Amino acid sequence: MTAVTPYRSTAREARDGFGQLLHAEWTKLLSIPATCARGVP
Amino acid sequence: MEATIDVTGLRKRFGPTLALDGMTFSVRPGQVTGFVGPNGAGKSTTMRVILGLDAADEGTALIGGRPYQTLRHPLSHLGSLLDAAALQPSRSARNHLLWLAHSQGLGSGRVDEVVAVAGLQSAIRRRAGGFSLGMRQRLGIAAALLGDPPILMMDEPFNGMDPEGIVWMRGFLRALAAEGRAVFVSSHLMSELEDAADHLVVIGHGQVIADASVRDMIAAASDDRVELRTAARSEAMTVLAHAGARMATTGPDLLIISGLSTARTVAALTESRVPFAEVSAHRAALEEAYMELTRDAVEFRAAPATPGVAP
Repeated sequence: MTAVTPYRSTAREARDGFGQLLHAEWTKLLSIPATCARGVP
Repeated sequence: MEATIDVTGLRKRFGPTLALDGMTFSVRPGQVTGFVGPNGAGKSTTMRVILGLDAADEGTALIGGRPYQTLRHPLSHLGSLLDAAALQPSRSARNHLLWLAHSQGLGSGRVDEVVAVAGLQSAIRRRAGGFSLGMRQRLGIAAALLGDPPILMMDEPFNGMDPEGIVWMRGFLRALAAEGRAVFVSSHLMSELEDAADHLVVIGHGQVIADASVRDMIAAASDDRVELRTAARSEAMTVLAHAGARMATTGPDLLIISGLSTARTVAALTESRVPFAEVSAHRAALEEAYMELTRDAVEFRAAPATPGVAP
């Protein structure tokens, strides 16, 4: 069996917490067109 | 954390239906593991249990030795694509990725990186609801890559892709595995995975039917048969018969050879100066072997087509 070099991420490490959650929810809210948010098709 | 998925003895019942019946297998880093089985075999249910979206009645599914629910930053450990249609249709593709990235403290720079990898640059400002299924698959792949995880799990990612997309997807999966990632991909068609996967887990009725490398599966299925394409069929048959081969003709320029290895077939033809276009392992046998393995596990089967009877 050949040895495999494990993958090492070069991306910035993820963070979580209330701030990140709020930021995500804010992005979701802002990114829906107003007509859709009001329920107008 | 080790980049592995270990599924052990999973059992899951939905009312009278036993969806998983002792499912056990492992996904290792550095290779593409294909998860193949007919519709209703338990592929999606297994993946949902791995992600903690369904609770197993028995057994465990661990990511690097831990249940998915206990991972502190799950997108950094395992990226998944279960349902490409699971998005808010009026949100742009970029904003879809952006809110996911923000939930993990990742910025817009990372979104731009995964968009480029998935080949979505030209469509990224468009509403995701207007995307074709193939483009939604690419968007789902971009989302799975956001945390740059060492493990990727995708449920039927070839669905809805055009031929160019399928070729891209095969190369993409192989490239991810070559980086040392564990790549776990389901399909109900062996042909989609044949050129992409290193290892295959074949399932039916919630159980593992076969768990082996593609090479071993091809060798077992083809029974060491060799496929020869040549315009000089009769000369080739004479030469190979002298070398001890048994042959079957399956087309005007195609021979299936048994009793002689690929190397010996090439040597015999070259020595006798018989021209040929291609000599390869009889790969069609893998699809045949898969059909054979899963014949009893097919849940929904249409009646044989009858000429003259409208559907």
